[in-house]
Amino acid sequence: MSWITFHSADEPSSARPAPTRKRRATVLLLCAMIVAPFALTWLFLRAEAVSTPNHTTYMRELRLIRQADAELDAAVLSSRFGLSRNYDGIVARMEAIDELLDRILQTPDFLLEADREVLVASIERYLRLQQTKFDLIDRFKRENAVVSSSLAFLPAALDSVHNAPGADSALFSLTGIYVRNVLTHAQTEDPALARIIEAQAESIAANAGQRAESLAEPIRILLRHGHLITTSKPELEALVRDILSLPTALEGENLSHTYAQGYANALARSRMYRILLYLVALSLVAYVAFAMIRLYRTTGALNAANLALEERIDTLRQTQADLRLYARVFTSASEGMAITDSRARILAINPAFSRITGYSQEEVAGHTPAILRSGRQDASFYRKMWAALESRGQWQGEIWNRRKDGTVFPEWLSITAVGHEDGSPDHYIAIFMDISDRKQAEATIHHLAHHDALTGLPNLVLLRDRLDQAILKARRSGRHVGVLMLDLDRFKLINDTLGHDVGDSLIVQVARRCQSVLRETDTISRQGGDEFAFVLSDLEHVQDAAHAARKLLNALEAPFVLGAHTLTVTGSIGIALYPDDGSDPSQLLGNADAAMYRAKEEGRNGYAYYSDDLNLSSLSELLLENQLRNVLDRNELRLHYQPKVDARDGSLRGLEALLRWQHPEQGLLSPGRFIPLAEDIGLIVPIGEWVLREACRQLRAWIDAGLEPVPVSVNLSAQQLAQQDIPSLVESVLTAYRLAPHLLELELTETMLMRDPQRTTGCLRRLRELGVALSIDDFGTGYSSLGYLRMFPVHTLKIDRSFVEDIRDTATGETIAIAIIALAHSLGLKVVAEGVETEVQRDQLARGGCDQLQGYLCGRPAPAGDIALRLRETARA
Amino acid sequence: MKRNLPYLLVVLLCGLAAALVLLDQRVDVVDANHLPAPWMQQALVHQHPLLPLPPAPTLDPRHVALGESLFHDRLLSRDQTVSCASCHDLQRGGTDRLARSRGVDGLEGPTNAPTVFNVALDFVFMRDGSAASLEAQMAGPLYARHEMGSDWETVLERLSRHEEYARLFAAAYPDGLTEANVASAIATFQRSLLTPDAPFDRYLQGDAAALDARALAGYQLFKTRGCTSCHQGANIGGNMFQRFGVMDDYFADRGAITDASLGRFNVTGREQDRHVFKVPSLRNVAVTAPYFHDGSVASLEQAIAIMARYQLGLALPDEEIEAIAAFLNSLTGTFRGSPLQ
Repeated sequence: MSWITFHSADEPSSARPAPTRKRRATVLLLCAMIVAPFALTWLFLRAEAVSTPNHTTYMRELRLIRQADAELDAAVLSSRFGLSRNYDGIVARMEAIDELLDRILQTPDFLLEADREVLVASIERYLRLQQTKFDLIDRFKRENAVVSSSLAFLPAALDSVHNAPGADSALFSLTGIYVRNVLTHAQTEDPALARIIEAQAESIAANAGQRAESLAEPIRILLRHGHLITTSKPELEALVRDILSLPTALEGENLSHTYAQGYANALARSRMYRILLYLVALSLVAYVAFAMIRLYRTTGALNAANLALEERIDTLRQTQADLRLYARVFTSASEGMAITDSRARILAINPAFSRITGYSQEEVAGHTPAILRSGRQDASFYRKMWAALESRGQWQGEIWNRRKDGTVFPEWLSITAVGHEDGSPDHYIAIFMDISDRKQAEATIHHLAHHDALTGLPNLVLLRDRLDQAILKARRSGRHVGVLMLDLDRFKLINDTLGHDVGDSLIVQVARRCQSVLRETDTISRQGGDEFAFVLSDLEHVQDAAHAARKLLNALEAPFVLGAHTLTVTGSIGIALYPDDGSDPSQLLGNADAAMYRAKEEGRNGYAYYSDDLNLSSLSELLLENQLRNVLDRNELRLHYQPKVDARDGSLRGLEALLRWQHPEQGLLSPGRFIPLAEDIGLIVPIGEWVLREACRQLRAWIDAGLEPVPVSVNLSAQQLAQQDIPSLVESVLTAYRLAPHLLELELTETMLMRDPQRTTGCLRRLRELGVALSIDDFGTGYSSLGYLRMFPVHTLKIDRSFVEDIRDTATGETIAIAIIALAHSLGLKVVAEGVETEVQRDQLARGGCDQLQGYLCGRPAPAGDIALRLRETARA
Repeated sequence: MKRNLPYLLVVLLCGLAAALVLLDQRVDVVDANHLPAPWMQQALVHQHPLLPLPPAPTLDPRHVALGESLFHDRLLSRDQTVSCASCHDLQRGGTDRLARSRGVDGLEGPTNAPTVFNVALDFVFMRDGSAASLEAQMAGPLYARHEMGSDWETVLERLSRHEEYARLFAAAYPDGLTEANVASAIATFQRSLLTPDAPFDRYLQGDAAALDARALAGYQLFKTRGCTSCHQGANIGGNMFQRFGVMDDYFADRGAITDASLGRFNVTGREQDRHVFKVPSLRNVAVTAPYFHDGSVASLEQAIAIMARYQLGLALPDEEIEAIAAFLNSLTGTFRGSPLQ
């Protein structure tokens, strides 16, 4: 039970006054509520105390008593003068006065005490007066009865005297006068008459003495009654006078007046109470108004407070939700979190902390994070960390820590000091992430970023880096840096025909071979596609680069075995040198690239230095253009013809007219050098027309020279087909040179056919109607849809040299070419294989059913004169 | 609760005010000015000294019945041997017809028991006027040692033990059994004891044949010889005091003066009231012998003669006395339908 005393003792005494005051106010209000109705009722009753019925009744009683008094006087007089022969009237008035006196002694309640006392005193005075009067009246009744009985008997007494024997006329007269006088005296106020009656009585008595005995008794009785009347009368008169002179009427008046005064006073006081009541009512109304105003205000304040409270609750709820969210973040975060006090002792950790470190909350609580220390960071590291926390309140960085199981792991740790406004921290919050995986991923990414995914070789980025370093090094040593750019020839063809997998494995093998021939200090990089770049650092001589290029090309010479395929690959290499060909990596790489293209142009499978003349040649491009514009006028264009031979016997079956430009300074230029230029400047149409006419003129010339002509094929360009009415041109030219249409063959590429199929079809149909043969050039490089070709009225299909090049050994290479041949034949097309350079190719194609062959093996392009010789030999054969 | 306090107060006050106003309106405003007072019916001028018996008053029958029971109940007396009716036997003209009555313990009182019939019409009570009302009068015989010899405590105690009385009092009076209510009941019963229909009353009301010639002559003598000077009014007496022995000293002549013969002197102590008595009513006088305050005169004629001799100073001849007696006999009324005996 000790807790009770403890509790009561613990109650703060300072908190007591306010509630006590409040309680006291409540009690006061309650008391007022209880007292107020009583007070009001009292006031109301006081105000209403002057009861009108009571007043009128009392007034009536006062009036009645005065009336009764007056009537009593009247009744007394009435009896006195014989008007009333009984006393019932008097008695009734007396009784009435008695009763009324009793009643008026019950004074109305509303009279003031002082007034009541005065009134009661007045009533008592009146009562005493009436008592006196009643006594007098009692006596009056008695005396009056005696007198009136004597008066009543007097005539009878006179009669008995007169009737008595011995009575004479003198006696008659004497007694008659006497009786008359007595009767008169009884009713009047004449003192002289009383003396006369007395004298007469004496004379009658004297007279009677002399008379007979029989007369003596009646006379005695008569005189006795007469005497009684005369002697009693003054007393009776005095009594009546006393009765009437009693100031009862005045006292009655007084009584009424006193009461009226008291009534007026009572009225005045009741009016005062009414006013008081009115004032109290007014003040109550005022209080109610005040209370209602206060209530209204309180309600307003309460509403405002309520609103504020609701807002606070909302805020609180929001805060709670936030807190829950924060707690959820804390518990469900994948990052480890720890909250410590200002001395870095752990207060709380989240589940991720336990998951990462293996320590539970119980194990670390109260410890500092030092239990995680791995030892990989030295003391200075931690000093710096704490310094940062002190100065900036924040630190983040990588740190190695040790798990509970002893393994060490890297983490990204962020520590924030949470503190007071003055800056001294009271808590630290540490958030960390296990970055073991990230570290690994970073390494991978780094590798990926700097290496080619396919080959694992450094990529361009790394290459540039290495190049930079090499340049720096070379700048110091004064040596050269070689930048080589290798591009595999016709790699695209391999990709397209054999698939990317084959292409990819080829690239990988190429990379390996390149690596095997280069020094370890050199960098090999794949630039994407079939391009490789090499950085050869620390070259003593410029020629060392060419040496390396040759070694690379040689390395590629051996055939590549790619699954079922064995391929021979050649490459073209461009060489740029530091410092001769550029001073920064971009320049060097660009120039190497340019050189590589130059090598390609100069015939594949070779290398070329980037030199100033290549730069110059691009300048001469403009010059070339000007010269090209006049090429027809100056008659510098030549046609060379390349033989097409029968695949079976090698006999000459046809010629392909190939355009050359006999440049005055640069010698004979291949079409690759100027045809794109000609297309650009719109010269291709006249040039094309010239080619057609020249070929036909040559045929005419050969025929005229008596040679057995073979069909000559002429290449049509896309622009020609689009801009010129080729059938009309062909017709006119054939007519002009009187040539059989079958001697002319027109070659088109697949791409040209597809550009405007409808127009092209119409055009080709007309040409065919003329009897001109049509062939598809470079088949396999473009759309390569045999099915589609059926739409066009062509006679011949020319297999692109890239397919022919693939035919390198007896086993595999011919597959595509043979397939094309078979398909073409099934469509009723003749097949010509281009680029036939080896006997293997020739044999394979022949075995595959190829109709004609074209290539160096069968005959290089040659001027018309040389061809004439061959025609002559053929003819001879 | 607190918020409602002013409203509560207002409602409370409103209710209170409404109640007061309603109550106030219930008060009957009677203009009593227009109601005539009973005594106004008594005219101031009366040529006739004698008046007919007034009609019976309206009384509460419960009070009358209760009073009658009490009037006949012996428990009022100390030893429960005597009731009011013992001395005021309604079968014997309202008296016991003894010269002087006997109370408890067989004690004889000093005076003759007057009749209770028409007693209500007297202006005071007891022969010496010592009681102003019938109610006040009751204590006299109740306490008198030679009458009932009892007291109020005893009477009330006995009545309260009596179930029937307790019930009747509770029914008849708001305050039930009290001293005043016992007196009131008996007084009310006495007020009902009027004896109407006397031949003389019938005569006064116009029945000329109601009185025979002798009675009529007696009536004339009664007036002319001066009797009506005192024996007047509706009760033919009972409304004044008069000295016994106006013309001559009766008591000196007779002797045997007792305290009772001092009359009103015993009440007032005034010399002028010596031998003064209430003038008794002569109604039913023929059946209330013996006569005078001490019952000293047995016959009516003797009483008439003494009255004439001492009050009027007359020696009435026998024929006149007889005529007057005949008249007095016509004053005997009826009670509950039958003449008094």
